[in-house]
This record gives sequence, structure tokens and C-alpha cells, in this order.
Amino acid sequence: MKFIHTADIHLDSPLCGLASYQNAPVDALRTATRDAFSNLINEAIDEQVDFIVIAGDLYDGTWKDYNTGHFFVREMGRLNKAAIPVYLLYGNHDAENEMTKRLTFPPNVHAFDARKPVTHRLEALRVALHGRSFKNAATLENLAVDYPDPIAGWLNIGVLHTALEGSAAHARYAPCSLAELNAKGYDYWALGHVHEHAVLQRNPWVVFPGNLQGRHIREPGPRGAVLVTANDTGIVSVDRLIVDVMRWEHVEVDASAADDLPAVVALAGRALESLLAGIADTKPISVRVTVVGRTAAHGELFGMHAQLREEILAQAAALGSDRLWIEKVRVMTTPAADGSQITERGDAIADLQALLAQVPADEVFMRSLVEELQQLTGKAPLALTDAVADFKAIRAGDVSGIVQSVTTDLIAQLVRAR
Amino acid sequence: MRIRQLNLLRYGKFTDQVLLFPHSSRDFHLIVGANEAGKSTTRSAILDLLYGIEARSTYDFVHAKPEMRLGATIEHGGACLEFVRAKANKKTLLDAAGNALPDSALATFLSGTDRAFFDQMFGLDHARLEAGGNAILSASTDIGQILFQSAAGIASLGGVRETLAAEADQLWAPRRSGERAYYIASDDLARADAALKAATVRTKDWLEARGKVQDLEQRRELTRGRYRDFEAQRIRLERVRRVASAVRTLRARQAELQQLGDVVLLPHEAGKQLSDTELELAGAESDQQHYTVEAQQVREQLANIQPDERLLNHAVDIGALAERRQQVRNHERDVGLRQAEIAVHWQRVETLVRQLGWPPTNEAALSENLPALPARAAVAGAIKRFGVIDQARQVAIDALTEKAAEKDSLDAQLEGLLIATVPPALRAALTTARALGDLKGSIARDEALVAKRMRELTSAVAGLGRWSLDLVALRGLVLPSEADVGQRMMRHTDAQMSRKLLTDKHTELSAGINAQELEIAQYRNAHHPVSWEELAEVRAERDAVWRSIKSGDRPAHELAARFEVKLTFADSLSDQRHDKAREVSELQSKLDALERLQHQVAENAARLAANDAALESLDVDWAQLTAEIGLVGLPLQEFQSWRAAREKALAADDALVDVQQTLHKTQETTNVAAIALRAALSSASITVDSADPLGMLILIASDAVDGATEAKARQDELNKQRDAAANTLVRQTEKAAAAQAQFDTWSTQWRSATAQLGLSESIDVAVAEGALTLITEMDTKLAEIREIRKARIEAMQQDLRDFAQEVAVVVSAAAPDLIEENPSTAIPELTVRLAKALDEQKEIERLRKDLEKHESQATLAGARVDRARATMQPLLHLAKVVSHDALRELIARSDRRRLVEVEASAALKVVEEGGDGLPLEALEAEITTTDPAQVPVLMADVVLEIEAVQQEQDALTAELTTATSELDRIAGQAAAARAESDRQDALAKMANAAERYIKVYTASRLLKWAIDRYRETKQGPMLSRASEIFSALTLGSFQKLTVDFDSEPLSLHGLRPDGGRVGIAGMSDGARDQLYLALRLAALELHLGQGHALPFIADDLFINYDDMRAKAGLEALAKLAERTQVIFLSHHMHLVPTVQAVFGGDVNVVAL
Repeated sequence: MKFIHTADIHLDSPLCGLASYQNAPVDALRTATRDAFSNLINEAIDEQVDFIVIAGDLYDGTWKDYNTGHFFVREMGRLNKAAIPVYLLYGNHDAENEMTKRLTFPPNVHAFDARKPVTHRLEALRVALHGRSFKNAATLENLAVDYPDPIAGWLNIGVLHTALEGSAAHARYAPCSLAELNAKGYDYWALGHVHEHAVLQRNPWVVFPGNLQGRHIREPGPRGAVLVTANDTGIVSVDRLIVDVMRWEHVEVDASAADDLPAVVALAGRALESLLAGIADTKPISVRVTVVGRTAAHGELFGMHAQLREEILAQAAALGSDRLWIEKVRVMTTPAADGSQITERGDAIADLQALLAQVPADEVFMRSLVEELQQLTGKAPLALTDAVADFKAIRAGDVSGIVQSVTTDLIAQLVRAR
Repeated sequence: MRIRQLNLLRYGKFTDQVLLFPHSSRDFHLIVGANEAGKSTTRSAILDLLYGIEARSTYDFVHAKPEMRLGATIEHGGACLEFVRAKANKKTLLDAAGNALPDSALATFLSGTDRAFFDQMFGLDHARLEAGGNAILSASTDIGQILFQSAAGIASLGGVRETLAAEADQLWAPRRSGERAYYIASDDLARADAALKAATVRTKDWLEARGKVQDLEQRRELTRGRYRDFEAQRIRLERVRRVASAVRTLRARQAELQQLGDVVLLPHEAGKQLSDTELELAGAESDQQHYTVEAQQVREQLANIQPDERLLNHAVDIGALAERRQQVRNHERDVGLRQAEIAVHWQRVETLVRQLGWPPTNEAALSENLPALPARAAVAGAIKRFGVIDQARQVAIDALTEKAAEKDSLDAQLEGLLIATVPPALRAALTTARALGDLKGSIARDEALVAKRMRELTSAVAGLGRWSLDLVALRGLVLPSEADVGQRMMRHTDAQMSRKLLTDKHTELSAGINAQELEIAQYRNAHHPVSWEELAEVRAERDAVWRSIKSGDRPAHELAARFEVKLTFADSLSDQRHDKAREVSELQSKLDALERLQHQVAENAARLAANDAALESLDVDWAQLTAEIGLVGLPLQEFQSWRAAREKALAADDALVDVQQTLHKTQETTNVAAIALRAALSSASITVDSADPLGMLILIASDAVDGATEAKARQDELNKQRDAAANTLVRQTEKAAAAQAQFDTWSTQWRSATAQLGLSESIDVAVAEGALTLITEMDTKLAEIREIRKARIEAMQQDLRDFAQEVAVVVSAAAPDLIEENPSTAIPELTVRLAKALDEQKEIERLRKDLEKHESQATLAGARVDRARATMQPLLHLAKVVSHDALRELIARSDRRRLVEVEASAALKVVEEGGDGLPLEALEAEITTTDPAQVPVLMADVVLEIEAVQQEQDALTAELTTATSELDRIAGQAAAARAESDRQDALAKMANAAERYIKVYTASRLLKWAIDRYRETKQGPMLSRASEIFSALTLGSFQKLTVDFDSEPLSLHGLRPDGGRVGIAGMSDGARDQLYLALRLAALELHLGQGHALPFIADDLFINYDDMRAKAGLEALAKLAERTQVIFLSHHMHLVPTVQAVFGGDVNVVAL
């Protein structure tokens, strides 16, 4: 007997942070979450699994388009034809979404009640699925406590959308502890909500399958569900089923040894090359390139950021434009010469540095800079606030951090000027 | 830090080369060497020595990289280090013994500086000098930038600033622009938002769409039910309408059948058969009786007819005779007519005999004696030839006569011709006169031209106005030059313009004074300011009273009150002045302004007077000049036009003289030609009048010459014609003789022929031709008489005889009673009788045929009667009756039963077909309950209802189709997901642009702020020192550097010794380079005041300097050398004495 445990599908949730450019594989990725889900359904049909468990967050909570629900129903229809039942538990996002209550599923889809925990029995397989859907998005009580007792002699699976005892990246919904889960005496806990794949425990198994498709740089690496195999003795294996259609990856380029921009670009090219070499499949990869290290090129990288990005894009294109998408080039380097070293020079640049150190004290200048930058933030859509770290500070009227950071960059740039 | 010794151990071209830099009060060292001597290598060696040999060093061309070595002894603050620098990845510092030194071994000496800083701050060469000069030119509007980039040794500061500003502008600016990255992405976002909105189907939308479909389906079902009800009604009414009549008929016929009871059923055609048979029987019996009677009547007619058989037997002969009689009927009359015709021909023959003068004779004798045809032909041939031969002879004679007369006439004309001669002199004179052309016309034209020129001259002279002189005097005038007059006019105009300007200004200033006075008055009234003078005046009054009190002139108490008043007034006025200090000041400024205006008026008046004096002087001078040349009173302004009028008058005079000379010459030529022609005419004896003009003389001479020429031509022509006529006359004489001989031969032949015909030998040709015609006619008439007689008369008489015989034969056989009758009587009678017999025979034939036909018809009618009677027998047998009447009655009953059955069956069929399968009783019940008259009305109502319901149903179906299509459109499409993806794309681009903008904009603002502050802090000390160096470098061409504080941003200028200011843009390239050097050295000196000293490496800085300037440059470096080591590289050996002059003879000079 085998079944698929999946969660956090977030159908039609967009991939964020990807600014398209020429030759970027745009079209292939516009429906990534759908494609990943279709891949999962294909796998289920090909593998002829006995059932599928969805442990919450089928949609994004704020997503309005009913077509998404329709798409889900269609995919469920494919499983219905293949006689594969689906046990669907609603998570916080689903509870928030207005589609949830309105969709009419094919007969193979069985939703868990939100009012009380229920048990779905698969008589032929002697499998019992216990679970309770979220009624509201903000479900902060411990749902697991009230789950029914296991059916003796059957394979008991607990389905739960939870943050467990807390997760830095996820809201603390339906909290509970591993001990509480263990106490239930189930064979397998099919969890959802945390997007990172995690097998928290074996015997009994407590598993987060992770989400099906990484949607931004904070969800890097392979993504998918798990394929669980069991026999009369219980769970035999839990294997990852990777179905994502695009991967997010970080590449860190240490520019310490680089003296100038071409050297940094060359290092970035090599880093991308080794990234590609290390990935077996041929899925497109969205890469964030972060240049780090104490480098003499810091000023040049600051002054020629656009050129740096273009040159790294060219490196990516040279390696295979259909696979690589440079999400962002982030320069996190520090100047080769720090402030005290500049001061020691005693030259005009040192004088300039000393003068610039006084900028935060020039209230008039600081106020005018804030006002000028607030013209940008004032007109920008709210969505940019999260995307641009400096927006919050500018909106709060405190640009001292920006001034300090830019002063360093500027001095480094002037040091290299001829 | 300073270098005491540099060891070029294995570096570039050098091997174990040692350069010593001993210490001195001015730490200056000159390294000289020709090109390629290794100056650049030495400079690079110092950098590599201090900061490590570069990984990609190019100084490995002699010593390989691993072998490269540099050594040095360096000093700083009393410390000294001797070390070796090797080319390696690590441990590149070694001590003198070859042991590795830590990398930090030089830290104390270099004080944390890096290679770039050292090179930038302490290195200067000619190229950088030029680049620096150019950079301060491009930054000439920003003194802060100039100071900073000169101090930092950065030429590209301006570029950095511009790049930052430009990048920020391309990313974002408050003003929206399609060129800026942020706004491009923002537009994308707006589009994606719209696309998302359009593509998103909310659950509510779907529910509405589905609800609508369900509602419409329900409504359509209800409508369908109503439709069905109405349709059932319609069908019932339709059925009633369809079968009501048939049901009633069926019931009636069924009753009638029952009433008819048992009936022998006869065939349905029995009635028809009976009536047909009876009709046939009656017809046949009638025919039989009719044809029997007719046959009897014909037989009786036949018995009464008996035709003549004899006639019928000779019917053919009788017919032939009748035809023959027609042929010979006119023969007897024709014989008489032909004989009369022969008599007429003979009468004509007798006439011809008489005309020929022959004796009367008969037909036979005449035929015998008529001349034979050959003789007649000979005479006829001779007559025919006579015409041609006689005419030829006559033509030859006529031509001969005519040509002889022509020759005589030409001889006579030649004799009468007069020939005159013209002398050659006349011809020559005539030719000369003609060659002169139309002299008369030329003279007339020239005379007209003279008149015209004279008019022009008069007009031009009039143009001189009252300054007109006689032409000689006019031509002799010496006028002032155009330049002189032009200058006078210019001066005059300038003076007049100045006058106007000065006058205007005077007016303006006067108005200004009035306005200012008014303003002051108004100001005084408004503010009552107290002037110093007023206060002083009051105080003086107060003091006077006081002095009076003090002097004791008058008792104090008398003056006390007055003094008190004066004191109070003075204090009050003083207070007032104090209070009104600003107004006083204001008033004073107004008074000052008034004074300035008054001063300006006075000054302006003086200038106006001076100007008027100059103007008058110009006028007097001009008047004097014009008086001298005799043109008193000619205004200066009119002089140029008068000069033009004079030129015009002189030109008109010249033109008149020219044309008068031409006229005179033409008249002379005419006279000479007339004299010559008149003399020639006299010598040719042609008399002319001495008053005849040349034209008349040419006419007379032409007539004489042309007449002589024409007469000679006439004589030549006549001679030619007479010679031709003489020749022709000889040929005509020969032709006439030949024609006469031919005629004589014919005459001989003529006589012989006429004799043979019996005519006289001397008979005329025309007479003989007439006689020949008469004989020929006579011969023809005789031949015709013979022909008539034989061919016509005798043949007819034979026909008549043959006919009479044939008639006799036929009559005797067919009608002997007519044997005696004349054939012309007998034959018609026979014909009549024969016709009658033939008619009778025909009638018998016809009657016989009729009889036969009647008999046959009668037989056939009898057979039909039998047959009809037999036909009816089966029916009679079936009906078991014998009479037709009994049968007829039975047939009627049978037919009635059958008809009723058919009608009942038809009604039943209609009921069955139209009754929709309902039983008869049910139908009867429907019909009974429905008023037949109302059926159409009810039908119409129901149809209308059905149509309405159908329309409703159609509308609902259409709505349902649309709604279903709307619902079907929600089929899981990914359009919204794609739009959201596009949104995220746009947001990412906006975020990137915004993120970068914040950085570069802040950087741009910071840089500007910092440069401004830099200027504020450094401007004083740096410019002060740079001023000195710059003045020295330019050998005093510039006194110092100054800042223009009025410009924004502040700008830098060089001040000339005469106080003139020169902006950077106005400086020469060399001066700019010197300015840059001055700024760099000043900055370096300042740096040395606060930073770590390192050796200053100057590489051929003074390439373009002359000795004086090079010395000035070296002196500037000498100052620097007092504070840090200066190593000066140069390839100019000639610099050595200058260096020694500046630094002393013991200066360290290292030769490479």
C-alpha cells in the first residue's frame, strides 16, 4: 500500500522577485505552482497510489480567481477516473479563501470537517485517516488534542495543519508538541503548514512534506511531496517525490581576491558553472548571486552595479539561458580599506570621509534627503515595502543607515577613481 | 619615509644597479637618462619595492619573474630598514641576509598606504598633469570640485558625479517619464493589474453565473409545459375541425344502408352498359333502314342512263382533229399576207433599178444580171483607202505652208530689233551708289536721334536746379571726393543723432528730477524726517539763546522760557531725528538721487552744447567749400544727388555730340556718290536734271543699264528660233512629196475597179459609194422574195390539204350524219357530242359506287343490332329478368347501395386518419361539446398563445445559451495566474529600480554635499599656497588666484598684475597645467602637514617648460623637498644646470 502525502500547494501563487529580462525563461514559469501540482497528479496516477492526503493550504488565502478552484477540481477529476481517493484537509489559507466553501468536488475527494475531528476509514486497506480542517484562518488552538483514538489493528494516519511548537518563518497556527502527537498512538502524522521538507520523527512518523514549488528565494532547493509505503507491519518508507518545475538557488561569490569588476564577473561565472554542474536535473533555476568578501572592487561594484548585473546575466546566458534565471545580483561586499585606513591616508579622500561622517549631524541635509526619498516611497505601491528593505526606514524618516552604508560605498568608489 | 638607497638587483634591464639618495636639507634627487635608459623602470621599481612586484609585471624580460629582485634602504623617523623585495606569492620581503621578513615589516614606513594611493598622491607625470589641467577645465564652474580633484589627484570626480546623477535620473525622478526604469515597470504593473482584474473570476461571479443558468433552465421548463398545453388544445380543435363533418356523414350513410335492405349487387358499370347497349341498338337499326332505301334509289337511276358508244370509241381521234383544226385555222389568211409582202419587196427593187438608171426588167432577168460580189468588193476597198491617203497628202501640204510663214515672220522681227550700248563707267558709278545703302533713311534716323539727345540734355541740365552752370564750366568743376562727402555726412548724421539722444536724455532726466522732487516732497510730507541741517539749525538757535544767557546780555529768566522752548524743540527734533533715522536715511538717499540727476542734467546740457557747436562747425565748413567751387548754398545732404545730376548732364552732352558727328558723315557720303553718278550718266548721253537727288539718279541709271541688257537677250532668243524653223521647213517638203506619190497609185487602181462594176471611170468616189450601196440592197431584197415564197406560202397550202382528208375519215365512222358538213362545222359538233357521252359514262360509274357502299352499310348495321342484343344477355341473366326496363330498375338500386357504401367508407377513412386514433364515440363526444362555429376563433386564439409562448421560450433559450457560455468560460484557465506573474515581474523591476535609486541618489547628494564642505574648509589654506606657486610658475604673469563669490557655484580666477581676472576657461593650456600643478603641490604640502610623508616621484614634469619656467617649477619642488623626499626623473640633460642653480652645485644627480 502506498499513498502520497502533500501539503502547501498554494495553487496559482506567483513566483516573486523575478524581474524578467531578455532571454529569461518567463513563459515556462508563469504557471509554476499549477504545473508542479499537475506533475504530482501524474506521479500519483503513474504510481497507482492508493490515496492522496493533502494536509492543508491548497490555495493562497487572498487569491480570488475561481479558475484556480476549477483547475483543482479538474485535476481531482483525473484522480477520480484513476479511482484514487483524496483526503483533503483545509489549512489557514484555505479557511481564509472564499472558494473553499463553494467548490463541488468529484466523489473521490473527501474533505475533513472543520467543526470537529473526523475519521475517514478505508475498509479495504484497513487505513484510518483522522483529521480536522481549519474553520478560520487564525486557528490558534491545539487541534490535535481532540483527535480520535486510533483504530486498533489498522494503519492510523493523523492529518494536521500545524506550526507544531513554532517556526520562525511560519505563523504559529494549531500549535502542538511532538509529545502530544506521539501520545495519540498513530502510525503516521501527515503534517502541513511548514514549507520546508522535514521528517521530524520516525516511529511514529511525523513528516512535513514541504511545499510543491518554491515561490521565492527564501524557498530554495528541491520541492515536492512524499510517497509513503506501508505494509502490515506499518510504515516501510517515506520517500521524497520532487515535482517542482523551477528551483531557487543561492550562489555566493567571494570577491576577496578580486581586484576589479571583471575579476568579480569571472568568479561569478565560475560559481554559476559549478552550481549547474552540481544539479543533476535540467529544470530551470532561479539564482540569487550574492557577492561577498572584503574586496578592493567594492567601490567599483557599487558604482557599476548595472554593468555587474548585465555581465553576470551574460555569464548565465553563456551557460544556458534556458536554465538559468538570475533573480538578483546582491552586492554585500565590504571595502578593502576600512574607515580608519582611509583616515590614515590623510589625503583629500580622507578629508572627504571625515566630512561625510558629519552628514548625519546636518539636520537640514538629512531632512531634505528624507523628504526627497519619501517622494519615491510615497508614490510606491505597498507591495514594494516588503521588497525594498530601505523603504521602511525612509517612510519612518530615518535614513542614517542608508547614509552610512552609501558613504562607505562612495568612499570606496572614489578611492578607485582615477 | 625616504629612500636612502635603491638597489635594482634583478629588475627590468637592470642588474645590481645601485641608486643612492643621500640626505640633504632639500631632499631633492635628479635622475637623468636618455630615452630607454630606464627612468620608467625606476619609477615602477619604487612602486614594486614598496608594495610588492605585480603579479603580471612586464619587467621580467631579462630576469624571469621568480628571479626578480629589488632592494633598498629606507628611513623613517630615525628608523632604518634594509630589505629585498622578491617576486613571489608570499614571503616577498627578505632581509639583507636573505631571510624572510614579515609582511608587516614595512608597515611603519608606509603607514597603511596602498600602492594606488601612493601612486596617485605621490606620483605625477606629464600625462597626469595634462589630464588634471583638462579636468579642472571641465569642472571650471565648480571650485569645490577643482580643489578636491586636484588634491586627491582624481581627474574623474566630475565623471563620478555625473554618472551617479545620470543613473539616478534614469531610475526614478518625481516627474513621471517613459524613459525611467521605475516608471516603465510601473506601467507594466498597471497593465498587469488590469489584466488580473479582467481575468479574475471571483467565487461570487461563478455562483451568480451558475445561479443564472439554473434559474433560466427552470423558467424554460415551465414555459415548455405551457407550450405543451396550448399545443394539445390546438390539436383537439384541429381534430374537431378535421373530422366533425366526416363523423356525421358516416352515421347518415350507415342508416341509409340499413334502409336499402337486400339488393342484387350488379357490376358498377351495369347501368352504363345498359344505356350504352340501348343507344347502340337504336343507332344500328336506324342505319340499317336508311342504307337499304338509298341502295334502291341508286339502282333506279342507273337504269335511266344510256351513252353513245361510237363516239366513245373514237374519242381519241375526235380530240386529235380538234387540236389539228386549231393549228391550220389561220393558214389561208397567212398565204394572202405573204404574197402581199413579196409585192412590196419587188416595188423597192424596181425603184433601185430606176435610181441606178438601169432599164425596167423582171425578177429573173434582174437576178441574172446583177454584178458579182468580187467586183463590188474591189470598189468598196478603194473607197475605204481613199480617206487615209487623201488626208495624209493634205496634212503634209498644210505643215509645209505654215512653217515657211513662221520663218518669214522671225526674219522680219530680227530685222526690226534695235540694240543700245551702256558704258562701263555708268555701271561702276551705279554699283558704288547702291552699295551705300539707305542713306536717306540713315540721315532721317540720325536727325531724330539728335533731337532726342538734345531733349535729354535739356532735361539733365534742368536736374541741376539752381546750381546749373554752362556745360564747359560744369565739366571743369573740381568737386570734393565721395569719401570726403561721405565722412562729412556721417559726422553730420552722428552729430544730429547725438543731439537727439542728448535732447531725449535731457527730457528724461528733467522728468526724473521732477518725479524725484515730487517724491521727496511727498516723502517729507508723509514722514517728516528731520535732516541734520534742520537739527543743526535748531540747535544753533538753542545754542544762540544759551550763549545769550551765558553772556548775560539779557536776563536769564527772560530767555529761560525761550531757551526751554528751543531746548525742548531741539531735543524733540533730535529725538524725532533719532526715531526717524531710517526715514532720514531714506530721504537722504532720495536727495542724493536727486542731486545725481541734477548733476547728470548739467553734464548732459554741456554735452549737448558741445555737440551743437560741432554740428555748426560742420555746416560752416561745408558752406565755405561750396562757395569756393561756385555752388553757393548747396546743402550737404543734396550734394550726392547733385553730383549724380551733373554726371547725367555731362553724359547727355557727350551722347549729343556723338550722334551729330554721325549725321554729318552720312550727308557727306551722299553728296560724293551723287556727283559721280551724274557724270557717268552724262558720258552715256543720258540727260538728267541737275537737281535730281541721288535716289532719282540711281533710278535713271538703273533703267538705262537694265534696258540694254534686256534687248541683247531678245536678239539672241530670236536667232535661235529662226534657225530651228529653217531646219523644220526642209523636213516638211520631203513629207509632202511622198504623200502625193501614194495618192497617184490609188487613182490608177480606182479607175480599173469602177470599170468592172460598169461605172464611169471618172465617177466620183462618193457617187460610186452610193451606187454600190443600191446594188447591195437590191441583191438583199431579191433574196428575201425568194425565201418568203418557198418557206412560207407553199408549206401552208400543203397542211390544209392533209387536214381535210383526216376529217372525212373520222366523221364517216363516228357520225355519218355529219359527213356532208364542212370540217369547221363538223368538228365542233363532234366535240360537243363526245363530251355528253363522256359525262353520262362518269355518272354511271359514280352511281355504281354509291350502290355498293349503301349495300355494305346496311349489312354492317344489321350485324351491330345482333351484337348489341347479345351483349345484354349476361346482365339479364344475372338480374334474372328479360326486359331492359326491369333490368334498369335493378341497376339503379345496386348503384345506390354501392354509392352509400363508398361514402360511408370515405367518411370512415377521414375519421380514422384525422381522429388521432380516438374511438368514434370519443370523437362524437368531442364534436358534440364543441361549437363548430367557434372552432376557427378558438384556433386563432390558441395559435397566438402558442406563438407568444414560443417567443418566450426562444428568448429564454438564448439567455440560457449566453449564461451557459459564461459559466463554461470559468474552466480553470490560468490567465489570472499569468497576470499575477506579470505583476510580480513588474514589482520586482520596480523594487530593483527603487533599491538602486535610493543608493545612487543618496550617493550623488552626499558627494555634492561633501564637495561643498570640502571647498569651505580647504579653500582658504589651499588657494593661498596654490596662489604663490601659481604666480611663481607663471613667472608673475598671474599675480594670484581669486574666487568669484558672486557666481553660483563659486568659480576660480587668475588675477593679472593689472587687476584683470582670467577664468579657467580663458587660460592657455600651459597656464591650466601650471594651475593644476600649483594646486597639486599645495594639496601635497597640506597633506604632509597632517599625513605620512612618502617620496614624491616626478616624472618629466616640465617637458613643455622653457628654462625660466622649469626653474620656477623646480623652485616649487624645492619647497616640497624641504618636507619630503623628491625624486625627479628626466631625460633632459640640459636641466642639470638649472637644477644645480636652484639646489646648489652639490645636488644629487643620478645618471642612468
